[in-house]
Amino acid sequence: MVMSSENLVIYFISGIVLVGAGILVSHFFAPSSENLQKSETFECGIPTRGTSWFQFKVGYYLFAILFLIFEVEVVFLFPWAVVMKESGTSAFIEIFIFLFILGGGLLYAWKKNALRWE
Amino acid sequence: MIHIPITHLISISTLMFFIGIYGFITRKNLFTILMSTELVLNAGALNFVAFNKYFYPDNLQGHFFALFIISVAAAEAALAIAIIIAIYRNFKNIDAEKINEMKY
Amino acid sequence: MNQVVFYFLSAVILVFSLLTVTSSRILRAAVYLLFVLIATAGIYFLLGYNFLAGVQLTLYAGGIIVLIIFAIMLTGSAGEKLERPSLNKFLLAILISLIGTVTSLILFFAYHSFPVIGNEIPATVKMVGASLINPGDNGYVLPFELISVLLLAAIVGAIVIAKKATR
Repeated sequence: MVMSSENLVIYFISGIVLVGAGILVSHFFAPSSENLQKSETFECGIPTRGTSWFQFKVGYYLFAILFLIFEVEVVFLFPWAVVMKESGTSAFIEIFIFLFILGGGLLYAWKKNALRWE
Repeated sequence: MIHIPITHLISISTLMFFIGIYGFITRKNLFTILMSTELVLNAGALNFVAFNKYFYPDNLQGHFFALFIISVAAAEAALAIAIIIAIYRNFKNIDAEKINEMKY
Repeated sequence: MNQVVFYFLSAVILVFSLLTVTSSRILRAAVYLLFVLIATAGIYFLLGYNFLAGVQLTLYAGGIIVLIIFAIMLTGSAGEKLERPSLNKFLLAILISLIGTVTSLILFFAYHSFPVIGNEIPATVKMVGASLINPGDNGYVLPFELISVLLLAAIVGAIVIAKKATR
């Protein structure tokens, strides 16, 4: 089935129009007042130092990597779930092997304390 | 079938591939090198899909090849970023030309 | 209409891939790469491979790019300006890319009339799923299982590298 590109174009344009209209409307109707204090990161407390290109704590990236890998797993589960009913036991065994191997990875991550938030 | 000659699709993927190669050679920052690699992989996947669609429409080989390329790219990006961050922790920079010191 | 959309997507791909490799701000380069990947997903939609386009959007645009941007933020290099390549390197890269492009395109334009085999089958999610778990002809169950081994290796590798760097 070839998707008709009219739908794609309508979807694209309506996405742009919806977002753009929201920004435009709020730009015209919102009251605006600018001053130096307002543009700071925190409005009260001690004055902020440095730029806002703030460096996060290295070490949280392991969660992002684990997320990406299990996202791949979920993407492969999706077409399997669609045909699960028709295919019966063999499909079930195949997906079980798939999940078993990746479950080993999850177990390893758990064992190595990679899932702990510190 | 949509009325686009396959030569145009292949031209797009070829140009994307060699733009990726260009970036791979000229860039120094490890992240931008990784991005160029993603361009190259993406061009490869697009090529497989185009050949599948135009010459062998009776099966889905190119489609599955592109699917596996995307998964391999995900695994590759995960490992590459783990390595880049480990390098950053040891050397405090991620410039490919300044990291010339091996473990000794 | 299909042609208009296709050439629009091609223009987006070309312009933004050039910007990806030439932009001097690393975070902008990542966002330009995101546009390239989304436009590629649009081409997959046009060709009728809807599931593949969805995977491209979720894994590439939603996963890999977010991971790259996250890692750029982590290393604190988001605001830095990248230096321009030296002239020698620039010329070398242009030369290699041009030779490669011209050779491939000449070869392809000379031999692009391959025979078309068989009738078209639709690439619905059902079809994709049935092929993915089919051990027979045109089935991809072995690569499917191997992907899980690859992902396991990626998990173990990432954890080992990360834990080693902490010590």
